[in-house]
Amino acid sequence: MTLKNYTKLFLLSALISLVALLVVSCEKSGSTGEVLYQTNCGNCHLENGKGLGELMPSLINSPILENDTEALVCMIRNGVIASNPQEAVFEEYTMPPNDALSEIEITNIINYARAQFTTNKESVTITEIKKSLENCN
Amino acid sequence: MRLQFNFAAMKHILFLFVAALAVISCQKKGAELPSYSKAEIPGTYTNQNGETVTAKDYEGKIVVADFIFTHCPSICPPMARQMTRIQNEYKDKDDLRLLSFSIDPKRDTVGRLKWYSDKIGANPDMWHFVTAPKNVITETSEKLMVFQEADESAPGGFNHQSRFILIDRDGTVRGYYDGVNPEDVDKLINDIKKLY
Repeated sequence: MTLKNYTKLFLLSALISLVALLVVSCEKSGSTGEVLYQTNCGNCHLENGKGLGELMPSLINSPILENDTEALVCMIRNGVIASNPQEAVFEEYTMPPNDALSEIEITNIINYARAQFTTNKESVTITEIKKSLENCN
Repeated sequence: MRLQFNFAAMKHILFLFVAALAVISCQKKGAELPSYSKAEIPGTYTNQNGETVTAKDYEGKIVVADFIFTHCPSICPPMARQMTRIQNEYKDKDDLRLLSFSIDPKRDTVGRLKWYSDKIGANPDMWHFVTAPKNVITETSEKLMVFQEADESAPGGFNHQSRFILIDRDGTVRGYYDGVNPEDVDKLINDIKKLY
């Protein structure tokens, strides 16, 4: 085998490895929105969005998730304070605030959850999310 | 002569058949499941219905037990979800009890347990949420081999394991399962079937 053939063989092997690596890494990580949803929301609303009775509401066709981006953004950022302290789950909240999520992360979560659990398949933009965040109390 | 011989043989066969039947019927249900130690549930508890309960109330019943608290933000919602699967799977069985011990007696009052039970859709006849003084709960968790401790740095203020414990009608532990792992709970649901 000549040096040229060795080089060809090496390049071909490298290309195959790279493609295999990309396929495997894509399979494992899923989309960004999905990973963010599972990490930040899936524990309570569950992987399938069905939630847990009335305590952790189902997201399936939830009107707020489906249509009310402004309310949804503020809910995700600030959480939901229990109207009756006896009914709080996370300190004084029924849903905890998420201070650490960036604007792009909130955008990705909403786009994933909305498409996955409601009939609304339209994406929101980061500009809309930024604007909604500014309007949160 | 031939008839007599056949009759004698038949008697033997019948005897063997009856003996085998007796052995099979005496075998413990779910014999293929492991048998661990007797499940000791010491002390007196109060459930979400305000009723006083002790180990005696669960005698002759199949029990799935776990340790939770209602302000738990981490593993309890998925554990409750998995318990709900068991409740739904065996909704017609009146001798199955789901028994969730609260490890947070300070905040988990009877009223709070009732509220939580209603909110997650628990059937209060089948699924008991129980509370007792802290020392009783600690003793029970030690007897049932489930780790739990107060820890201010842990989510909600407690560290605890997500174990589900299967106890048979004789009060023997027949299995330990991870209550946040749906595949492990599939196995538990199947193992309960073996006890019927």
